[in-house]
Amino acid sequence: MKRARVPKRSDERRDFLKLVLTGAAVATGLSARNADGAPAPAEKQLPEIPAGDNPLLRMQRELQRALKKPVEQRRWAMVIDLSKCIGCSACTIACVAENKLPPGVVYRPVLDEEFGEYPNVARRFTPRPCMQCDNPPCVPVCPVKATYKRPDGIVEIDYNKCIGCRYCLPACPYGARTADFGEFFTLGTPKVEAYETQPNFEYGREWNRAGNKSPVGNARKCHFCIHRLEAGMLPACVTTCIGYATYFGDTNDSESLVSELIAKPNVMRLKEELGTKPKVYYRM
Amino acid sequence: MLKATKVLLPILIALVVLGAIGAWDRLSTGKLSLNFGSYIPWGIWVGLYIYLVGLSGGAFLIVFLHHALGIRALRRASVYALLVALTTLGAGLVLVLADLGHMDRFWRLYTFANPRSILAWMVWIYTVYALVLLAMLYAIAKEKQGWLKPLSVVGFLLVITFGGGEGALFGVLGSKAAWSSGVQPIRFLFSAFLSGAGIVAFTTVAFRRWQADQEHHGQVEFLRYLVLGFLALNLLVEFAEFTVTSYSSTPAIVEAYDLMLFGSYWWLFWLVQIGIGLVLPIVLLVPPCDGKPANLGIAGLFIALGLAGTKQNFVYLGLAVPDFRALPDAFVHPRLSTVYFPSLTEWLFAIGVVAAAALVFLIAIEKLPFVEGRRAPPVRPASARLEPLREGGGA
Repeated sequence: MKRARVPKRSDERRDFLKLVLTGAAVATGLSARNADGAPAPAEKQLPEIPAGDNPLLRMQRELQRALKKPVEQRRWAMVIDLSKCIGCSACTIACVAENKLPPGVVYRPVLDEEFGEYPNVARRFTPRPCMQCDNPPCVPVCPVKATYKRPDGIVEIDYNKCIGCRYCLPACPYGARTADFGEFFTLGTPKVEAYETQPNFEYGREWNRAGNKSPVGNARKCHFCIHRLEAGMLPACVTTCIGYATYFGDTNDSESLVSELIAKPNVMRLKEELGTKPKVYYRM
Repeated sequence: MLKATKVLLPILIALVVLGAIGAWDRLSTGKLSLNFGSYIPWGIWVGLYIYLVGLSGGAFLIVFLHHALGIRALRRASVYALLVALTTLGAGLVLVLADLGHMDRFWRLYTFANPRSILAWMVWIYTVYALVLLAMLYAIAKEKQGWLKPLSVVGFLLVITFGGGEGALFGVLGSKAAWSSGVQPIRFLFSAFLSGAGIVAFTTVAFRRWQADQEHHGQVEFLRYLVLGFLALNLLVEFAEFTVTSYSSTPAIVEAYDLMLFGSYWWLFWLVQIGIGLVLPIVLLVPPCDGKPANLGIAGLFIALGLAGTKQNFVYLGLAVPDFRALPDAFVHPRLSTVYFPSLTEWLFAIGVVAAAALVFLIAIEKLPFVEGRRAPPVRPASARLEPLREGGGA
């Protein structure tokens, strides 16, 4: 079995430059949406990924490989390496920026825990996205079928169906769902700034919160940046992680980096005893 | 008009006006002025909703006991019980409707109901139950006696279903240690019966429209034993739940109980639940204080108040222990807190809705012709009944 290659420092500068160029190409030539707002046809617009051992480049290539398969043959998963996470919260902020999250809504907080007593102390950072459980407790409780599991394993919320009863919030054992109460950062100032009323593109559709429209009043949660995935881009939290602590890919691809990582014994999932079968793995 | 009604009417109207201010704020600002958030996603409105709907079911027990089981002592109380059941159900449903993030989509509960969701089932059951209550009211008004027994049986089966279903609504959430228990349906059902019996006892004593005759005293005695019996059953279930789950030492449960006993809502448990809801009613209902009907009325009111506090505590404590200890501090915002106290809007609207329910009840017992004391039974002398025949000359 192939081992996950940990990048060497000497490679990193070259890989970083490649990545920046790739990122620029992605940002300019490819957006999660076409100009007319229709979903981007994945295969046609996928950028060329340069060769290299950088984990991000590798995951990008694997993502493109997965997108060539029918959606029901993909199985997205995330691996978070706790030994690499430094608790910078860049992923949290990237997620907020990508999904234009309002105040009080967070998809990927980083738990910061301290252990021991001085001088024997330790700190652990645990990013906590939605676990995209294979047995999601949030799905059966929804009274109007507004949340469901997609064929690729992502648990989706249909903002237009959700009635905002918030029953799914306490049902989630990971506290991964938050409710949108319609707040804006600049509410209460002379003017709600325009950047706050720009649409976001969650689930590949355009959502504009102005005028208390959905997703205001809805339950919200991490969706592995499905709108980016379908455009050939990795989730925002993965690409912004400064320590390569978050990995993403298709577990139905045995050659993928995430498949390699989750096959190792130093991997666990949160609250595994509940039988929810999360698709987010933690590497110790 | 009853003296008590005369006193209460202006107060209730004032409270309804305050409630209208809360409703206006809710409608105009959305959920901005509500204090619950994502880690405490349900507040005083949901606590009151489960309480009021349970109370409605409990009140319906009295209707069932009279019409289906033929307990004559509850003849007068059963009319009051039906009105209590209707008004509290309406109030509970209004509160939970206001709690929805998208009130305009409530119809989806009927058109796109998820058969795997208990909440969806509950909405359907409430709807059928409401129709049964209205049909019974119609049957009483139109003196269709034959309808009452089957309707009360159907209604009671619905009460059992949604009374227990309410407990299941919380009990099935395995993520919340303080809620996840098979005893919740029983617990909710018994507390519903207790609150219903209590409030019916209160209303029949405080707003009595009939003479304090032998039938009234029989009714008071029956209700006293009923309330005492459900009080004992509730104590038993609560004791079992409290002791067994806390002895299990599941940290989240112990933490929830610690919060209940010594947390910021200690007063809700010790003063409202235990003091007003348990100790005082027992003192009022057992010798030497058990002789006066007024004591039953006060005890019934206290029990109802105590159980309202119990439900608030139940909802809050189940949510107050975070899924991960570090979660509330991981991303700081008032909506991501495990501390909750209702906002002014929440208080105003909650008080207004309860006041509106009380107002409707008082107006109903004043205006509805079939409420005993409103009008004498239509007894016509035999000679009057023969009069038309005589006039027609056919006899």
